[in-house]
Amino acid sequence: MKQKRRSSSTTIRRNRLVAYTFLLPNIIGFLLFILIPVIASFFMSFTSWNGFGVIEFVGIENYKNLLHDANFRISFINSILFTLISVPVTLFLSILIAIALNRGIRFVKVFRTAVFLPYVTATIAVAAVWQLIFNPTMGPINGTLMKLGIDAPPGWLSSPSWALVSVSVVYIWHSVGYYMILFLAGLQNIPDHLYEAAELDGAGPIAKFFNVTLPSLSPVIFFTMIIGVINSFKVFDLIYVLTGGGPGRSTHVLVYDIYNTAFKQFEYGYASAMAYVLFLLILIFSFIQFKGQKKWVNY
Amino acid sequence: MKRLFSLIAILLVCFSLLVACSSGGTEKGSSEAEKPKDTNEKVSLKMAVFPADEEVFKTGYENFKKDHPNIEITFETFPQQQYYEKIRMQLSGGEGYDLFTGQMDNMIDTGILEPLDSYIKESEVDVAGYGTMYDSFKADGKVLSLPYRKSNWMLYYNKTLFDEKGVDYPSDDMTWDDFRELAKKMTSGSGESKVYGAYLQQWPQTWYMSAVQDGASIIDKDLTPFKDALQIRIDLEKDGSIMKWSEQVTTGAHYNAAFQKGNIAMNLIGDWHVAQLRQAETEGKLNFDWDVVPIPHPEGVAKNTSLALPVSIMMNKNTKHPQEAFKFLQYMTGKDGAELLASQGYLTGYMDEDVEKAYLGDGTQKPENLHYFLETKEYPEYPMLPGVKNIVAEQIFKQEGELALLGQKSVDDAIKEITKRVKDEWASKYGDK
Amino acid sequence: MNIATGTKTEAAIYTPAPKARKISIKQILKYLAIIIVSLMMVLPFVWMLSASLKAESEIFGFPIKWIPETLHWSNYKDVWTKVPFHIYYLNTLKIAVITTILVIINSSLAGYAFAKIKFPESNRLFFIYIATMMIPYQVMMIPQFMLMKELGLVNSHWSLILLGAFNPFGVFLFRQFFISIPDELLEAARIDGLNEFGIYWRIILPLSKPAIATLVIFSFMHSWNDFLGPLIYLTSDHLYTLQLGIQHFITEYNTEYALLMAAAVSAIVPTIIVYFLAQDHFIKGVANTGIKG
Repeated sequence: MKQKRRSSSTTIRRNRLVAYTFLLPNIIGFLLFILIPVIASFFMSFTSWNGFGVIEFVGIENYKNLLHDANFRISFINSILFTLISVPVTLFLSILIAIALNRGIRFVKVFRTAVFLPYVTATIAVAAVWQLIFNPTMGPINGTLMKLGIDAPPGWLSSPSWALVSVSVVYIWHSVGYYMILFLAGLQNIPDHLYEAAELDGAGPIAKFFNVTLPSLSPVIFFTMIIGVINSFKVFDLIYVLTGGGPGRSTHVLVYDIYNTAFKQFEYGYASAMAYVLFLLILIFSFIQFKGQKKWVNY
Repeated sequence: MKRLFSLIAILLVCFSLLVACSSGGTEKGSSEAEKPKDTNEKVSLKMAVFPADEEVFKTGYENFKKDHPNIEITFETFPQQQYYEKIRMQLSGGEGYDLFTGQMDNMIDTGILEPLDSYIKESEVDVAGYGTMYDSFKADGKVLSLPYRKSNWMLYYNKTLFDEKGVDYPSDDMTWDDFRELAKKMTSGSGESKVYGAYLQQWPQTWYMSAVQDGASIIDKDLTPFKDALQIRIDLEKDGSIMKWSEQVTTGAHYNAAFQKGNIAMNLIGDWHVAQLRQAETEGKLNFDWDVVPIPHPEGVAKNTSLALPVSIMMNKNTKHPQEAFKFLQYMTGKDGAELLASQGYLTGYMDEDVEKAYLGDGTQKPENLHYFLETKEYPEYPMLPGVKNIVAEQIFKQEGELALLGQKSVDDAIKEITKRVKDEWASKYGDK
Repeated sequence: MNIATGTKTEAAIYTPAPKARKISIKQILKYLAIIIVSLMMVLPFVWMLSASLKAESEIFGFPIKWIPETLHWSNYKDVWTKVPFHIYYLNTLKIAVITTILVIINSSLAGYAFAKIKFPESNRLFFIYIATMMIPYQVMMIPQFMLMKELGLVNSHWSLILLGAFNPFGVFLFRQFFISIPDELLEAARIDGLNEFGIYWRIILPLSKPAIATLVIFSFMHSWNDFLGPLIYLTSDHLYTLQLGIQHFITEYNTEYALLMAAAVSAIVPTIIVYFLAQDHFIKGVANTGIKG
């Protein structure tokens, strides 16, 4: 018994040495370029710093002010709504497309490239096209709706009640290709013998999907869910060029607010405080997913 | 794990020391810079300029160099939309620009603007040339920048369209109601043959300007004058004389391309548009004749009252060569620079007879009636205080005004909400200035 | 239908007649759906292409004209002559390639440690990695800038390369993919006398081509399209990247859309090539795996 414990502690020591050797190149860069700036900006969130002069500590003043900041409240709600709309739809569509484009059709490379194109197209071009498509009077969407007899179709990007949904549509369209790649890579990693075994058991395509594909894909699904939530809470570029947060404040999301506060209003300390509330929000979402993963993720 | 955290802690301490040291370093730099140096030794300066102005500054510097061969200046320019965040970050990191252009309110809070009063006195700058706007470059009684151009608003009109319709050209003395009537008269057609009576860019200034012409300011406690201002734009849209707000926003409409297309009778925009139209003309892109008149004014306000948004040059407190830097600042914002800019069609901060002559040209260049703008009475577009533009104008007025223009809110409600937000978000931060 | 097994589809085409007809209707529907989806996806790209060949005044009009009346190839000429576009190209290429190589090396090593080596801090450390991904880049910008300033790397490509090379996303990605590789494979290799690095190099990496291809695409794309980073760190024109160079066509009072789009189309080509080449590995990845049947 004693001997066994000793040997296990030497294994731990040996493993730790090996692990840190593997981690070394990454951990140096991570500490220096990510963790230190992250912690530094955490300290900044307790100051009223504007980037210049003496750094003045204000305690939890910034966080207290957030409680009755109407801008912040609106962008907080918008961010949550945006994530709840876009993440599930994006993941669902990209799994579907990834499976369709995995193998078994001709010109698969061409189609895959097509699906991925939105992700590489310049954001400013993406915005220009969608603004034309969503045009309330002359755009193709409302043109069709009016032909179908709908007199007053929504104003999409120019309507305060539809703008967030419209932006989500563009975001989903834009990022489906990204998640498709992750799922394709996941699908490629499923060994053929699992399917062969399922076929021997007489499984049809649907049974194979639920018994082989989904369980084998679950680590990747978990990964994309985490990344998906993080990315959608951090959405900025698209909103910046599509609506600029408008009309009114209907597409003001948290990162947009943070950007405005830090770089247009030059309240860097306050912006850092906002960022840490956003961090907390994403952390909660991720924590729920981590807790939930044990039930369905198949390692 | 503990070891990891102590490592982080140590690194963090090092980092904050570095930051502290570097900011201390820049502080020291300022006291060293006090000593004036007026020798002829070679000096190199770095200056950040707006991308649109880079060419003019380079031309100006070529002329400047003839008299000051010892001063070498390199210009750096950054994308307009991110201009201030870029130069602020550079300056904050201790990266030195000796001079930079911009709107002063974006830089005041940094505390790195060198007061120019003593230099102005020493060099005997004729401040009368800056007119009544001179006071707006002061903060706490000190002059912190000098303007090189003013960005006044003007009314550009398409003469050919007026001729075709047989309507009299806009006069230099129109009220906003006259303007509305005239715009209605000029509007016709639909689809491809649509002619708009007027074009107003989707900026909040284009609707709030009429209240400012009447002496109101966007940070007033009582914002009732802005109700009428907002109503004017709504009426124009109701008449169909201007493009709908929603359409403008969703098509990313732009006054330059729109006016050049030739189906807009009157375009309300800044003085820099003269240079743009001249350029289009030399490139052969314009197939109509055009001219300018002063913008319409509210009832009871004198004609030729406009808004201006001066662009100025500021000097870094930490510059090692303040004398040389000021020389170039003085050159560009003074008579020589003004003549150069005026000859290209810009209304300059500095004005005297020669600059006026340069501005009007020899009569061979359009527009014919630039002379109006030499007598304009102007109000600043907004008070040059930090935060006013980025919080009050670009957010509060833009967002709430937009809701009214989209028909989501009544004018009364919109102005009420603006008043409330100005009070909450702005006054609380900066006191009752 | 055999979605996941490539070898079977060939056979499916030659199956007896009645069955084949049923499949072909299904096939047609499937192709139709895929084609419609693909068209929707490429639309903005096509618009970008067509706008890049139009005169400025033609770009925003209704109904949308997909084919310009006259092709203004001069837009492309202007882009490549008005600004030193080839220099921007080389700069961007340099940054993107070096960053991608560094990311693959350090992320796969770290991912291996997190996925396959059992050490006590593994989970907590990994969680710190993920947690830092949740903080918006905008607030880290200022401290990062000051750090780079102290290291003397401002206005140099290395600041961008270093910032791009250490990104927790890559570590997370590799960890997730390595975890799905069965431990028995590693045990077998250990019994065969391979050390940890040998296992990583000989067993794990060859199995992870899809993951590597994925990260190559993302990392390359990310540094290629990054705007904020170069904006902050680069000030000299000769160091500019494409995304910064493109901004020459947007000024305070005007945006030259035709030139902007021509520049954007010119800039996009390498990302599509990298994507096209890397996606081959999704297919080859499986063929090369050691786990067969």
